[in-house]
Amino acid sequence: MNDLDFVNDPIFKSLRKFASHDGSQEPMPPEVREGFRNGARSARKRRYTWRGVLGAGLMIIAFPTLATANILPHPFQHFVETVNRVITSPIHILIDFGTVKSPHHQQSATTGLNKGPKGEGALKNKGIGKANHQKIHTSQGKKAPHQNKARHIYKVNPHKSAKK
Amino acid sequence: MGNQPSSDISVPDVYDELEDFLVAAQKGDERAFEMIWKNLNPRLLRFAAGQCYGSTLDYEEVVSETWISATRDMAKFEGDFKQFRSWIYTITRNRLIDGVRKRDRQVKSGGEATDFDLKDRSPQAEELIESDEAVATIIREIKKLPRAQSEIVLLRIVADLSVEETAQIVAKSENSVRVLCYRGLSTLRSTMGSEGGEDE
Repeated sequence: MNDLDFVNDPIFKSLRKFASHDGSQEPMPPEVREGFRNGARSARKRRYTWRGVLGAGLMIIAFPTLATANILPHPFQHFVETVNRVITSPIHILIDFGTVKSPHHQQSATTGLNKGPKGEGALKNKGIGKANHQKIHTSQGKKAPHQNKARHIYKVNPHKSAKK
Repeated sequence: MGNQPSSDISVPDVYDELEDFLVAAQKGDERAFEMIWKNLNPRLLRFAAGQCYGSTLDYEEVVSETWISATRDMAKFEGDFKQFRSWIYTITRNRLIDGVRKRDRQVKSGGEATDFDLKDRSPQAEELIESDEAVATIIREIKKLPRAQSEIVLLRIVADLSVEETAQIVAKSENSVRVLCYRGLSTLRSTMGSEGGEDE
């Protein structure tokens, strides 16, 4: 059976007439109008929010890259570098702190002490001065039991032994 | 396929114009949305009235809720005007199903308030349909058909949707829609064949 035959079947004549009522004169209900306005408003908000987020993300990615390439105008360049420094300095501090405190580092420092005749030679070879070494061990405190060997160096240090 | 030009303006021209209105409405043009509403609402109301006939659902409320929910997500809609029309009818159909379920739940839970609420509804589908006896008769007969058949007949005739669009809305294959149409028509012919002949 043809699709058109079905639609044009005489049995549906009154129904077709009923359906083809012209409603162009009827006004749109206020609640539908209000719903449309709300929908349009929220769509606009959504669109601008999305664009804003996208733009900000793009700037966050692009500016440091351009600053690294030194192609930004001076004030921008300066600003981006400052921001970079401000953002990265706490991270650097954290990294340094983490490196010094890490058990791996502790172990390697202690092993270094064992290598030399009194431990100091090995440290010097590694480029860590006595003062630095003391600092390292001061930061480690008495927590690690395997630092007993290092502790005798503190005693050599009159300043340190005076404190104790 | 099933869409018949009901006026002097050819259908593609009307669709082109409505597609422009749809694009404008999606960008927030209220006037364009009103044009779409004016084009779709009369048939949508009649389809909902046909579906609500004999039940206590308020068809105007269903259609109004359909439009409100459509306007909320209109900007996200992707497709041409025909797809938009199918979308609107799908929302209406879902709202009708939800409405029937809700009413059934209310009736099951019992209570006089339910009866009061149902009686208190203002525009009933009966008022619209029974203004014409011939329309009331055919819709009464259509409502006696199995639900799937009656729904498809109303979508094809009242909503003036093609087989393809109807299949999309009821989530069935085009062939199933054709079969259901044919079965529905056969039943209608057998029950009211003589009345159809008189109309002709």
